[in-house]
Amino acid sequence: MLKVQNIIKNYEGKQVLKGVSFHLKQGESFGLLGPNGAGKSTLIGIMTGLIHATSGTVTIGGIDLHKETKHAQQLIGIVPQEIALYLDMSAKENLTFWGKMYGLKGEELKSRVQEILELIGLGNRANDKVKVFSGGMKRRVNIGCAILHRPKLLIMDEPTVGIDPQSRNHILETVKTLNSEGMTIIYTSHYMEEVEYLCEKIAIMDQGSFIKVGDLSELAELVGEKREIIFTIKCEQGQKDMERVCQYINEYHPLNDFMVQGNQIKLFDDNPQHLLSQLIQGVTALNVQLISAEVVEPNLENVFLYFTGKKLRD
Amino acid sequence: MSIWVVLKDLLLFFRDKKSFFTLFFMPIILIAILGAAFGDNMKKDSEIRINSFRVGITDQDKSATSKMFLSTLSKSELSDIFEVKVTSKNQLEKELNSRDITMGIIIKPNFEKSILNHDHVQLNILKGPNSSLQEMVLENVVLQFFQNYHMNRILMPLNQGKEVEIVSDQLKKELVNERNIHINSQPITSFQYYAGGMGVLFLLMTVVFLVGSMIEEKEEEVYKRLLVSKLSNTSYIIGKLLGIFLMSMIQLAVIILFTSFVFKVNWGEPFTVVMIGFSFILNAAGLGVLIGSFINREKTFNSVGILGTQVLAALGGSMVPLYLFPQWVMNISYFLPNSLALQMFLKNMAGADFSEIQSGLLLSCGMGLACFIIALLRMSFERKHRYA
Repeated sequence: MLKVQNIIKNYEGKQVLKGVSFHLKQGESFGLLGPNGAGKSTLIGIMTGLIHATSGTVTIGGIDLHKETKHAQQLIGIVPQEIALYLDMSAKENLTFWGKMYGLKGEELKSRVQEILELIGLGNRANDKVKVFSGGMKRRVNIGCAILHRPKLLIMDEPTVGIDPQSRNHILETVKTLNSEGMTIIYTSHYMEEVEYLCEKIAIMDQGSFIKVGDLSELAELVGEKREIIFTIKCEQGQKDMERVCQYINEYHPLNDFMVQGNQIKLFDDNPQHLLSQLIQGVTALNVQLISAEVVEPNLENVFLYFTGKKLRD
Repeated sequence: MSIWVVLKDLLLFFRDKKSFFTLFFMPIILIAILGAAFGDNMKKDSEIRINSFRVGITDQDKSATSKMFLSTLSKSELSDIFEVKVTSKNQLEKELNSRDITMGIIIKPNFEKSILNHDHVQLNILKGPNSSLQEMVLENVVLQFFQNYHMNRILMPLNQGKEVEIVSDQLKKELVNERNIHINSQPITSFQYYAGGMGVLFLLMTVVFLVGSMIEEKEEEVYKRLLVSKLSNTSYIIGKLLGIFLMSMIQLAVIILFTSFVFKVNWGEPFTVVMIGFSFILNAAGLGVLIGSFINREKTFNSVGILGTQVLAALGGSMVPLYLFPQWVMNISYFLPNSLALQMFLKNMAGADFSEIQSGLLLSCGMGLACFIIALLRMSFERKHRYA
């Protein structure tokens, strides 16, 4: 369905994408994870034909996106991160307008608009202006406009940012349904649990390239026996306590890479229980108050942290 | 597909109450206020009549030149406007006081000598009350005499001593401000003037507003979504421009119909009015799109647009009539879209033929198209550059 081959993008003397390649089969769901500035938006821009790659090719449904842009774009539905709707128009007017922009007309357009309104759960609010909708409702219309023309590939760029749990669940269920009906999905999000729930294949992206690609279990295996240890301390003397703890880890556990986030220290080890007890003793000896200490089983959040050294929302 | 872009823009425009009010009601309110405030002043100006008057002259020089001067005044082309009476100085002053004569000239004893020596000419012009227009006429005749006199002195030796008739265009120009007036010319009333002036100003504002909203849309996600849809970039631009034309023409129609029915403003030949409106919108939209192609942010464009509209409105005669400006401003303003349109509207109101407006229409359309072409080239270059 989608073939991305060796995409390179140079921008203002900097290589934003460094030879990204992957392919998706019809009906696959693909999660794209990466911290801010990883190159996700540029990659999405290239896959939708909005940005030209410096080199490399994108083929959608066997059509070369660069050579036959409009033809290939007909197979794509895009849900941008921002609300791409006319706020002074109603949900129905928006859907009708975007349907026309995708070449739908007449009875087909009418029935499709009605279908989508039901699918996104806004059948009873069809004639209300979008500007009076809640954030979640706007996002639902935003998705509705992208799937009107029954695209083969749906690209969703953080579609659930800043919405209520009810709308979020509705959106996730809608995407799951569309995927089960054979629509190929590319999904980027800062919410790991969404990607875990929706995507069978996940790519972790950082600094313009894919660090790892695989399903969740494959990625977890790459982490191996290592588990994440999270240590929370009470910094009574400001940063001084944290500095002392860091100094201690550097001195007594030099093989363990660790990260400091606020008053938390995170590190990976394949014998977490043993390390944890040593750390507790060491920190207590420093007269630093320990608030909590825990060992976390592998999940997408700590897999991501392990590979990128960054939190997803950094 | 462009038509759906137009309809969407129209729908959004009419739903935006603030813009709707500003662009449709403001011009009507301003035309009413300015038109009423100036009353029929402009009409009166164009109907000024100079009543015939008497000029008393005292010749204290009694030279050949002073006699020539007297003779020139008596035989002047304007002698049907004023009558010359030679009199003594005392009598002249008496008659000026009694208002038997309107203006008086005293030719001083050294009149001839001062002319020959190129000194200050010894001539006193006395004027009675309320005689400024008569004074202007008389001054022109006197100046014409001096210019002819000096030219004759230079040319007579070359013409075997015979007097030379001066027909220099330059001299004519200094005395008479020529202009062609159509046989059916109607004086322009202040309501007509401000209907045209405000109409053009608000059309300009509409074009700036619509081009601004086009730039604003380009900054938003909807534009990206449009680009990913079936709509081509060309269809998008055509749709946007059609929207600008349609909305501006609707605004022009509202202004014309309202001022025609409520203020009885005569806009002249309807077909020509439509053509002027069309050419102006093309010209202004072209200029707007050209400026917009260099500015990517809607806020910057709007700031430039507001400033530009005010400057164009002032220089284009929407605020005060153009003839009050110095010549160099008038020369510049001829190439401003709004000034060109206003002059055409005024000519049409005054009853000019289509042929007299044709060149302005062509110039306006040509300028607009040239701006569009440059803007499209610029946008295409920018697009390639950005995505290369």
